[in-house]
Amino acid sequence: MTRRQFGHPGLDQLDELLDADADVSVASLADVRAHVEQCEHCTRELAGLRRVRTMLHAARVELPMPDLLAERIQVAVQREAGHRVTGAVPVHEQLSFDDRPPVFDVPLPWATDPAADDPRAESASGQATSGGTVTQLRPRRRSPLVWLGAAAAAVLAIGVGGGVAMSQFSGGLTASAPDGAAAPAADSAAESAPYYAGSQAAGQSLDRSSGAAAEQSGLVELTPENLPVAARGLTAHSSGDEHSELRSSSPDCATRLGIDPATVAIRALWNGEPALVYVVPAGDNDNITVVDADCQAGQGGGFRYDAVASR
Amino acid sequence: MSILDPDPDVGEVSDADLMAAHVRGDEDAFTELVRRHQRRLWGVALRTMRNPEDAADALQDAFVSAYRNAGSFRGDSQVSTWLYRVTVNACLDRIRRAKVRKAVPLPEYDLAATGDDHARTEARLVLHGALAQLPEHQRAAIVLVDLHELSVAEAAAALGVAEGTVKSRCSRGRAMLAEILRDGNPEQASTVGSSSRPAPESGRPSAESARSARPRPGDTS
Repeated sequence: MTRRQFGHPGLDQLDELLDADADVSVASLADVRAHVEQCEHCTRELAGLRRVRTMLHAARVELPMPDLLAERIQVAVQREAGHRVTGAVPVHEQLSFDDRPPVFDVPLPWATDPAADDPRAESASGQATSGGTVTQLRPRRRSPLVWLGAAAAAVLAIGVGGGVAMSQFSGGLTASAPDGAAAPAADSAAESAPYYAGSQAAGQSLDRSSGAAAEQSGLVELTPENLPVAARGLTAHSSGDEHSELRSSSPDCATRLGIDPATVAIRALWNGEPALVYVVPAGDNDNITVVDADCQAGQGGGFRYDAVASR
Repeated sequence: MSILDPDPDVGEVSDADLMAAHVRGDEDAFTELVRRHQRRLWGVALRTMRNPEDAADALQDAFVSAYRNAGSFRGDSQVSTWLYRVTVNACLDRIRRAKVRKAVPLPEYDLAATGDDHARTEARLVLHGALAQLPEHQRAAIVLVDLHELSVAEAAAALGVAEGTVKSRCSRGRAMLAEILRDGNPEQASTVGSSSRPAPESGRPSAESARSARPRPGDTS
């Protein structure tokens, strides 16, 4: 049995009454209105429909978009354009361990004008503003490895765009870097077994749509330009036992670097080279240290890179 | 040279000009279009797909599709309307191909907006739980018209249907929402939609909600 069979108009007919442009002089709607005026039940139903419209209007807000999704889309579009996104950057200079330059604060891409996150301002202008809402991707129904892949995509996208100035303190690349150039990460990763054996396996479980780097190596590619974003992604998604393949407990190395030995290193690629990354929170900043996988920083070819990124 | 290169004699480049520049091969033009529209389209995808992961996949599909098919844009509608259409189609394609995960009540932080208080966020959660129970075409119509404020004509263009169809889908959808929300049962509203199988697009409420909506015998007033 339906409302109509009980002699009531349908709810969709009642809803039409609420349309601002509804022509209630039309016979069918006029009948509906006449019925409603003497039917308590339909009056209540009409109130319910009004409530729905009010709720819908109140829900007219711009929903925060995950930062990493924007980067992922950018990578997908660039890939569509046929751009090969490698994230490779020029080889850094040979520096001795003691040539460490001062460390600078790094403006993070997402540390933009708060007004940029105000959806009202955006809708008023009719255009999306630049800069992203800081949206922490939540604990996942999907494996966090997927988002690590997305972080890799972000790394690649930002690696191409560049634009983040950081300090560099580094030994040169070792002889494993052909012609002294930073090899494309994927190629490097493919050639770097057995160090990457475990990580390659981890890479296979990554979401294949999440980024070129993730697809090809399973490790996040780091460069001076993308380090703040990538480090954030790493720390957000590499915790937990299930990601042990991405982490490296190397207290001796941390001690040698002057870092709390309890800090867990995260495996990554640094300009295509195997590397360990330490991210140490310090107030509003993250102290980030990248060293070669053997922790041979400054000892005949190893590299070390330090940066401070404001959170 | 990109259309986006600074030119003091030219104000902000229009979407249509960006689209044309993209078709001509300007590599920066499409990126700018993405930047301008991705947030709004994210809202459409999230509300249509009912699952953030699927929404992300669909939005990526949509932009890649738009990139490929920009040449088919004839300028009959606004670029934004066309992008809405591409996005809705990407969402519906994914739903049709059953490449969707189970619908889940969206966590608060997916729906919270800047400056929201708890009550408004809670109300939005309830609404989205109810919205998730609508047939996909009704949901898409309501998302565009009621949540993204497209006119019926724009929504019709975006959905590729007649204006009357949009009106009908919206009316039926709102009526169904009213039924779902009538008992003020947020728990039901936010969890019943966890079925991965959307209701058929008949506009009819589920059996349960239909029972609760049915006037009592003898209620003839």
